[in-house]
Amino acid sequence: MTPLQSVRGAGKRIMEKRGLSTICLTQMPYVTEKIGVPRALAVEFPFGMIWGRPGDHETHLLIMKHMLQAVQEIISPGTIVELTLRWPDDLTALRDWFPKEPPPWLTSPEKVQQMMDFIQHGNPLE
Amino acid sequence: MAINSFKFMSKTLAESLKVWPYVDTKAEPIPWTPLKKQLGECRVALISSGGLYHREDTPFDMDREKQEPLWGDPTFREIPRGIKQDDIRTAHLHYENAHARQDYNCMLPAAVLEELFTAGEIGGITDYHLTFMGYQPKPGVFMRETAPRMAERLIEMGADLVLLSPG
Repeated sequence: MTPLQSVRGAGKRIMEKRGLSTICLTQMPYVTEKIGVPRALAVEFPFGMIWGRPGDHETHLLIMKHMLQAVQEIISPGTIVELTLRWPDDLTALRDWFPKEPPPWLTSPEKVQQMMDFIQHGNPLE
Repeated sequence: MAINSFKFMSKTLAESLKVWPYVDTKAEPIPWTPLKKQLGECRVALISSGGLYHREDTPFDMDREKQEPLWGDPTFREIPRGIKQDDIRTAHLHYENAHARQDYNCMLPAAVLEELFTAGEIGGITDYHLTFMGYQPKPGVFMRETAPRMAERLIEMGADLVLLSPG
């Protein structure tokens, strides 16, 4: 997820520069704010189910309506609108979103250290 | 900020996100393209970084990432409008894929977008939505090549508004 966040920001900035209006949904406004994207809607939902649970059509639609409303209302670049929706069961969310097998960079202390070294000293744009 | 951005994650992941070197937004202003039309006239496209792809397309390269954990497949895929659940596959090692395999709308909400189009609330939908695999520790290729190509593809399809969501 780490680097995904920075890519998300980069993609949106590139598209907006090219003349497309964009808005993103984020579950990490802390990061979104740092990246600086034109418009964002934040929701405290877990990874892998950012629009709601599978089959939860009502929540998918509700978030979509909020997103389209935010597109029309945001007039200042960098605005993040926060939804008050909350995931009903935090423990289930913690169990359900993380993959059964951890991502490769998290599979050993050495690989985690490799990532931390890269974050501190590497060149992300290489 | 009322939302806890780190609520659902491990300490290791949260710590790495807190120290990640993000774009310096003070050095470069945030780009801004105003919505040029009323929403009811806008053609809308979706983008998901959840690693979704059409079952006949090439999967995102998870094998290489397993060999090189600081590498992520920087390419993108096209998802045809109206794609059926059975035709969707996922390739992303950083979240539980089972939910999207059950209902891809929890990652790429194409069904509700179609409803809003039928109701006249948006003016159109692009023939394809776009996806990529969002784990990009070294996003140079993504930024220099993939994102500009995605932007060109969206313009080619007549998109006015792009709705992006993460994995």
